[in-house]
Amino acid sequence: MSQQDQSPSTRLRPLFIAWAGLVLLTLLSVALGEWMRGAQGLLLPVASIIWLKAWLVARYFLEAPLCTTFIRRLIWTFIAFAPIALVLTDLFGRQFAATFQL
Amino acid sequence: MRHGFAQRHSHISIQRLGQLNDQRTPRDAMSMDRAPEEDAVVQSPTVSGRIPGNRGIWVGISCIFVEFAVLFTVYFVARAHFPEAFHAGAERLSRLSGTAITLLMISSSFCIAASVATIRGGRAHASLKWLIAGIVLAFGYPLIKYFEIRWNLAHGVDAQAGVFVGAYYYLTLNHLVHASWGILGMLWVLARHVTGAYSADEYSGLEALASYWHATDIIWLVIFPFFYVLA
Repeated sequence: MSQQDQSPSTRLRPLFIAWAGLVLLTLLSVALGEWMRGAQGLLLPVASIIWLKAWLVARYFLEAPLCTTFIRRLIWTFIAFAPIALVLTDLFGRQFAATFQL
Repeated sequence: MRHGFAQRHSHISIQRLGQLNDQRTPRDAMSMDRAPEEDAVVQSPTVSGRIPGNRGIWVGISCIFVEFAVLFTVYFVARAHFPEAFHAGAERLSRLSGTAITLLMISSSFCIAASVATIRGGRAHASLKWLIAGIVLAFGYPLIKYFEIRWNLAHGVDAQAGVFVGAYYYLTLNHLVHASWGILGMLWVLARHVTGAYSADEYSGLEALASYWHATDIIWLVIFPFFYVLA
């Protein structure tokens, strides 16, 4: 089915499933924060959960795949920015801070 | 179904341009004085997909995304310079408040999305109920924030408590301001909905509000782990 053939949804079930997923991912990230307190491996799963939750909202609530190219690119770029920057800050933060001192 | 100007004019395709070109004779093709309507079609950008709500709200959402991208950059620069302060910071905040706000935001967003879905299906009464549920949940955010700030101040988490707390207030209060615009927008949309302004054929105002609220939700979903989870 082409993108133009798709129409906005009137169904509640996909919205409910997305909401349930968001609740579970929120509780999972809190649990990870508790279990892996101070651990180096915490950042990558948390960054992945940020992206996944933002994707769920964009995909099911905002219906981003049906939007114009500009809006789609805007949303996907914004939700990718923070997780990527978080991982890069963890990997190269010290070099960055040494190069660009405040 | 009406989705506003952009949707009505969004199907000017390459194929249509090709048909127009096929209809023109070689003489027409070489001529500079084409019909005005052809010029209008040729100059129109090819747009695929729809604009939820209206163009105006997406100009606003674009500005908010850019604004928060800049604010997030401030967070990352501070985190890079003061990693110890940021690793220890989450322990100083009320994780319960942050989690409660997150659950309220995603639940409110779900209700607003359900309100849009039901009005599309022609169920105006159900749509109104979902909208009211979304507003009630959304009001929980400033309420919990109020108690969270009181808790913070009682535990010495004020604006002079270091770079982590400074970044926390900077980002979360900015988000609260934007969420407050969203709540005011919900009240306006509720007044319109009660007076029967929305139907299966015309719901662009409700959908514009929903788009803004979902964008605000996405921003909070990024802020939450920055301050309440990553320790």
